[in-house]
Amino acid sequence: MSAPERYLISRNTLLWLVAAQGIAIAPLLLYLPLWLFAVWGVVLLWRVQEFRGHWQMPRKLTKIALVTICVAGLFSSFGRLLGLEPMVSMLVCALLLKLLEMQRRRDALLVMYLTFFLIGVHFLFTQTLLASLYCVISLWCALSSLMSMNQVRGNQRPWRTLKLSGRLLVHSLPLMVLLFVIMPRIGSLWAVPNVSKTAKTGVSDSMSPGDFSELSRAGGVAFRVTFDGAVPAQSQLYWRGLIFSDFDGRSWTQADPHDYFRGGPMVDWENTKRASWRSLAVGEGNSIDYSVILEPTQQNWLYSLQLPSYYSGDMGVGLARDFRLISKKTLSQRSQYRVISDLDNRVEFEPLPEWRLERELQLPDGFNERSRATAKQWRQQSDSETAYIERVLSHYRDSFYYTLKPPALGRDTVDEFLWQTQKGFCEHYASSFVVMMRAAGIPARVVAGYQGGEFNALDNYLIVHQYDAHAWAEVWLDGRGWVRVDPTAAVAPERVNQSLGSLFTSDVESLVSVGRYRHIPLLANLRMRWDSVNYNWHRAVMGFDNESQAELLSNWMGDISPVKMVLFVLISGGSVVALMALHLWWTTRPAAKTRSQQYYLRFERLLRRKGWTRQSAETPGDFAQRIHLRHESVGRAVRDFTELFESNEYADEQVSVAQWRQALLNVRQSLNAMKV
Amino acid sequence: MQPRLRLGKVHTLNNKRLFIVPSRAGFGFLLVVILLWLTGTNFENNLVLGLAFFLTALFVVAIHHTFFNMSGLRIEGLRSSPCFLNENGELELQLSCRPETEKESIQFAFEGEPFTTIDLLDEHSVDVKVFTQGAQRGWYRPPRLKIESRFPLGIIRCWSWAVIDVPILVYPHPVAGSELPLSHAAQHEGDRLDRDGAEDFDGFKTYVPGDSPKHIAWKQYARGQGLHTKEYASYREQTVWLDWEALPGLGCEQRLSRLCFWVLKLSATAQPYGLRLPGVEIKPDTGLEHKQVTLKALALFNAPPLDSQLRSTKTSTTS
Repeated sequence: MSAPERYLISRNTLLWLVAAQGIAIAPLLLYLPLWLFAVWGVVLLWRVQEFRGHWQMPRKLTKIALVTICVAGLFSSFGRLLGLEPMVSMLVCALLLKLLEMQRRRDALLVMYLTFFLIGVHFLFTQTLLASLYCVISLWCALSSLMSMNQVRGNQRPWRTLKLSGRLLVHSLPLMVLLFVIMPRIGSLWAVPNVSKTAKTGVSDSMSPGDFSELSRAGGVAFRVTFDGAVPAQSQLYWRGLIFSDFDGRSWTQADPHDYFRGGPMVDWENTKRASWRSLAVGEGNSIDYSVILEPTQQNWLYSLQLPSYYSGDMGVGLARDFRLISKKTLSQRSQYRVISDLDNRVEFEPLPEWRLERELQLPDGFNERSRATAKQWRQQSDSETAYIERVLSHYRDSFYYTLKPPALGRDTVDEFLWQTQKGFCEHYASSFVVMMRAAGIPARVVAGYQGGEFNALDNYLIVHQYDAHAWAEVWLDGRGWVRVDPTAAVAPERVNQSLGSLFTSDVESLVSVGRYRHIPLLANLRMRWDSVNYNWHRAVMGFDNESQAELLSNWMGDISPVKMVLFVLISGGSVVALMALHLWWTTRPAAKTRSQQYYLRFERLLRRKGWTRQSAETPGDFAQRIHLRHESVGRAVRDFTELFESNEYADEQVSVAQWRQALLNVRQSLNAMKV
Repeated sequence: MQPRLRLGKVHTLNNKRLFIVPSRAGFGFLLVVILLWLTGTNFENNLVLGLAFFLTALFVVAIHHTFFNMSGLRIEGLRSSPCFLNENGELELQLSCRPETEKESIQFAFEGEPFTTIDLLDEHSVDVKVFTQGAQRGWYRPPRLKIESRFPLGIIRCWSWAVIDVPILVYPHPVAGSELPLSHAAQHEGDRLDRDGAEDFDGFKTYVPGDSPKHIAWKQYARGQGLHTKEYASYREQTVWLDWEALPGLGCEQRLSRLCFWVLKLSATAQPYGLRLPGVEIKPDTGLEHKQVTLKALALFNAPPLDSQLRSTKTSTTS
């Protein structure tokens, strides 16, 4: 090893490095292949054994073998090396293996910088408040580690290192907040891979009885909503996500989008109102303004109430031909959008064209024969469409039973459900209801989304959980357009009026979830409070975009002009940095001088004019002695003054201001006398 | 740049005298910041951006912390010890700071020498020795002292130069060779002493190479008591004059080198010796102090004055 010794890594620095690295990658490993833990273990063991002198650092061939094994492992885990997870895994591998050839400062520096980068990469997978707090801890540790690399004896005191790096951290925060607020966001420069391995959550893009039961049991949050104004009644909160028009006898899927192509563009992006089909839906008042923060779903549909008349969001929001909102991008991160919906509306109230009717009346042949026959029979017996709908609903009301654990259904799902088991949840009701409608010649479709939500009174917002997932029906009535009918409400009205969470608590929340214990008031309160903190964190930090930036800055400055902006940046940046420097200075300022010290300094200044300077090692007594040898009369005054000083400083005797002045005056006079 | 390079025994580092720039590690750090910013921007992730902004802020904060770590450091030249030409001269420095402050990982060295690193944590003053090659005979002012620190994060480098006004006495480089450059006068003096016949036997002393074979106690040697030299009372007055003029045909430095060699040689014995240089005469004597006086005379003979050195140091700082 030819490098000078000072470039070697000390034991304490090595410990700091390993700790910082471990803390930074531990949460990442939750999203990456499990065998990376094994790599980590091997590397740590190797490094420890090397340190104890039992093993040697791997040689070149061993290193090549290790790298090959890791790359092969990555390839077999992912089947590709491009994409976010493989790339992050590769970085983690590199960081871990680097530990095995880290001997000099330069290697350690590389490890540290990679660690900093990986701390940031963690945010691509999760953006919760907890993750952010964890990031602060990782950063703190990484800073200590970096500092320890630049210490000599100081790194033998880990607490001191931790304290100093903590101070650096705190000093940097104000400037960071300022940068966060004023730095413009320029948007994606190029397309980036998304987190793909995370399970898709929320409503899935197809529905066959059985799917929803699993979904309902998930306790996670789907989205949170803040209303600008009053919150609509629980029974109004039908969050439309997807519309299923195609039924193959078993499962419901969305209609082929090309079927909608006939009326011009399928999607009206950014509320331009350019699409001609938007005139097919008319809002009739009762608008509500709300913004939604949606948890990542890895899908691209959004949830909204009734008919959206205005919508906007960073990820690009568009209105689809079936009057629901979709996002331009796959939602791999929490995202926020704002909607104004008209609760009273008429959608496609004019007679449907032939191709639309065909789509909304479609039923597969050879399935559910009994239901179809019954539907035709009941429709003939009913005077009107509404009477028929009421007839079907009353059938549910008579003998059906709402349960989250329905028996399995065979080939003719609707027949079996309607006439045999009669036990099920929203999905079964919606599916069978739509089949009954279509069989009777009434255009109908299944809508999937969420219903209701839990109101957090602490911060006035609504939490919609995964277990609020719901499916209902929409029927098309001539002259009226699409009307929502929720057959589940006929069976279990409490399902609609209350949240599913409060009805089937033990079914939907796992044992460890705080939500399970919501009947305990203190825990319920804590749970709401935590959610509220998380929500506000998200709105303030994750949701901080160009729009909120402009709003905030104009709140502070009025109209934003370039001159004002430059001044603002200079003044605020300058003062933040100045405050930090002031604090640094303040903590190391000289101790306040006592009165005797102040007078002694004046005394010294007086003598310095005569060329008599006290040497740094000379005591006041010695100094007085020296002057006395040089000049007797001055020496006497000097000695008197020195005695006064010593009695005050060391013997704790009280000396009045008058005494000080007199003594100093004597010295001055004796010096003046000397001049003459 | 001139005001930063003051001559003095005491230097206190302050904002007028400290240079501060990012180190190479600092540029690497900025690269990480840029990568994080790109990631945050591309993924439109405010938290990644936040981290990039945090590290940017940290960079700015580190500038101040590095500066404060250096500022207020007091460097005082205490004393120097002499050395021979082209050998390591030693300078004792005192590094101190106010008792309220701490200084950590302060590196310093004369230009071209490896760094020494010290901490001022518990004690607020520390004495250290630094070495520099005595490059010029006479009073030699050591080159600029570089004081540097990258504490706390290594991403910022802060340094200052100081010319410590404690010159080092550089003796000529001793070169063995030629005969003892004895003065003619001294040889006559020896004769005269012989003639006086003042040969009072005074005792024995252990033989040291260079003792005159005339005075070796052969009888004692024959008895197996080892090699001794007879000492005579009058022999003390028999002095050796090392003379510049006795080395004809050699240049100034070469003469000084040889004289230096003989001074070292003779001072190892009890032989009194004197030194004659043009315009300088040092009376014969023995002992450590005499040796130092003699060597100093050799060092300072025709040596360039200090001020001319300062000028050459100053011109070399413009880089």
